[in-house]
Amino acid sequence: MRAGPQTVFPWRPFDDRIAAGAEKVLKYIPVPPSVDVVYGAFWYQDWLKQEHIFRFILRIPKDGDTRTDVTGVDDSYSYWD
Amino acid sequence: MRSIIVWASLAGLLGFSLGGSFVWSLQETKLASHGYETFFDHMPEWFVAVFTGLLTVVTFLLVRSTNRLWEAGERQIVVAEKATNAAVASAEFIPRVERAYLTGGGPVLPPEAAERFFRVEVANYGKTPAFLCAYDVQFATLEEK
Repeated sequence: MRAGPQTVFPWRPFDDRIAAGAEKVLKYIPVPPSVDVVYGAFWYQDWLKQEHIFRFILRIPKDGDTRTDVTGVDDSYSYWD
Repeated sequence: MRSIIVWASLAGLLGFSLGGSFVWSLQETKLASHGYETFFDHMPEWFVAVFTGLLTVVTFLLVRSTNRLWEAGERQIVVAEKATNAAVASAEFIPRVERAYLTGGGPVLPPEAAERFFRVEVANYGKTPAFLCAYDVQFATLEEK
């Protein structure tokens, strides 16, 4: 489930149901100064109780809209199943 | 190989029957009271001969029909196996299609502010609900990656 130079871990338990086609805001997390990227993962189960993970890594530009164009990093940062 | 055995057995059986009838017809028979033989003096033998001929034809047709049924059964087995494999593949494919596909991320707000926040968003692009268990968000510099 976890791979890559910088591992992720389900530090933040969040028991919730996300309906099909739905979006949800989970939390606002303070961004430390002078960081360039944010990365993380979501752990969830499907209707057959099979566990899956979605990982992401996003670049943080000045304008606030995060980008997916982070290059030169390990592929495990964008792993999903 | 199977059809050769069937045809050889049939040929042997019919050959034995016809040969026996032929040998039987060569044997001397007592002449009728009028001194010569007529068609009607051998009615039972003719009846057996005709019946044997009909039996040969019918048996031939029966064997041919049986072989065709056998071949049709073999083809049906192949079709049934293909249908079974397709059903199994479909059953394995459905959970992957219908399952939840979660994605996440979010913007950093407000832009160009001294204190900014990463809004953790999650969306389900699958066809069934997702049961979220946990998440993790970390920050780093590009040099650290």
